[in-house]
Amino acid sequence: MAVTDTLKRSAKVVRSAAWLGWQLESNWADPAIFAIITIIRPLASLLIIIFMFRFALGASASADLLNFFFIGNTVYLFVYNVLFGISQVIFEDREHYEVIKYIYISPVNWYLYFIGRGFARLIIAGVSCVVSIVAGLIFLPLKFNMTAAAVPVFAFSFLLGIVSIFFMGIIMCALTLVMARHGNMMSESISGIFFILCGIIYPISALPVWLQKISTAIPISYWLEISRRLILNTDQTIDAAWHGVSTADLVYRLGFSTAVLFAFSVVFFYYMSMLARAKGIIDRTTSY
Amino acid sequence: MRIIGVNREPSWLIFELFFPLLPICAFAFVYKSMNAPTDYLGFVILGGAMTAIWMNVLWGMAAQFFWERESGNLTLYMLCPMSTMAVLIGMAFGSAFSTFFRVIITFLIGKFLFGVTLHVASYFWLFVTFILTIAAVFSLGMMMASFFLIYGRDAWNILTVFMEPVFFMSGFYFPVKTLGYPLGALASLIPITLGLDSMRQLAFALGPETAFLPVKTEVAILVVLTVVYLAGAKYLLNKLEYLGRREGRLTLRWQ
Repeated sequence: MAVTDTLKRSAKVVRSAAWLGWQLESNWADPAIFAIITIIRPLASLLIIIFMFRFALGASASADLLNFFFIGNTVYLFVYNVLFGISQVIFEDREHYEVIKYIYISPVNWYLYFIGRGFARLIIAGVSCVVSIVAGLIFLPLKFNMTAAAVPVFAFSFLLGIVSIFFMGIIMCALTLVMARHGNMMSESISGIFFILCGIIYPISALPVWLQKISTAIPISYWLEISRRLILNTDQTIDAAWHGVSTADLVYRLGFSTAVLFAFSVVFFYYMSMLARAKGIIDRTTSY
Repeated sequence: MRIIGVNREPSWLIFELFFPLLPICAFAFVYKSMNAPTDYLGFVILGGAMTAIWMNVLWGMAAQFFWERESGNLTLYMLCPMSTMAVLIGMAFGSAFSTFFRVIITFLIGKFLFGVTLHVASYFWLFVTFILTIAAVFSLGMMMASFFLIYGRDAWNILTVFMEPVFFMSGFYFPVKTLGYPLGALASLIPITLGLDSMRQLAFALGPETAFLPVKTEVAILVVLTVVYLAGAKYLLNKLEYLGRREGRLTLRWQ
């Protein structure tokens, strides 16, 4: 009974925080303008890469290469949005709206509150993903060959991927608790590191060997490779860094790293929130 | 004020200078993975260097009044006997410290990580193009800043549209000629489009092959854009300041 109550209460916190996050993200404009703003950025990102391929390779760009980059770019929409969304909450609540102290003293689980706030950006990422797929189907020779048998594995790995970036978002959120306002560049920066290391728009094998070792230890890299293999219905993609590693092994690595991230995010978040409280900077504003 | 701000928070330098370089490296790796000529990587490096300037215009200049109003400084600015244009230009120069440092680092990365070499056809025209591009984009930034005298979060969110879509339209990572002439002509309203195209023509051996317009034509258009945007900024800052005063929006926070 107590467990059920706790779960219900946790779900309520996440739901309320998600609703608040959605209002903050969307209520500044009427739905039509908000929709345009939401879709125009991912569409432009996609077009940048398409035109880079068109410029460098012309008509000779292989379908395998285009499919490879397209899937990476689409999955990355979730990575960027969720990481950015969760880590920005501290700056919004603390520096902009100056309400963080009221949230801190309210009877909600802070960790779950931040998870909930991330859901608003997850929805935006979902919309952007759909727009990208439609644009991809128009501009690119996409070949989605996923078999029915692969759907459950894909759904499971996708869920693991999403959950893992939520935990990474919490870790960044914890760091921003002790950072000044300028730390808002951190989420962009970390996303940039993942953009370069995880083989989003080019194979990891294009990186120097020492960087490949780091790349192949990041959960997002596993998530991308699994998604590509299952969507394209192949045992290996053009990324030689993963040749010889089975899809099952990648799913196992993704699951294990997600569990590690969860444990670390909980410990790290509570440590950093205690540190911020000890330093008296939970509700500081840094307008310089 | 900007330089003092940097001194107070040195970590800002790390986030502002080094981490934004990562996406630029990623785009360079895209060309590298295609075994494209080194000059193509140079195109990315130059485009990446110009992103620092464009971001400075967007967030250091155009959105400046948003931050000032949120922190309560905007009313103090209005009380002082000074021009709002002077404040914005001063802020832009203050940011130039970190911006130009980032530009230099971008070029160093291009040289040492990707082996990019410049083949400058004319240092004079390269300098003229760069200065005119800066003048035109800063004038455009001042025009955009005027909207923050009456608008708040809505203008802030709309400003984000000027990131990736501008990176695409202005050909930050590929020559604008690839877009075709009608779309390229439209993109030329953003001064950085023509500035980048001219600088690529002047700084890289393969640059002239990818030219959208001749350099001297682009320089002439940049002069016109600078004058038009400067006049537009003057008009809009005065007009929207008046509207902001009349509608009581200059002190309105959290809108």
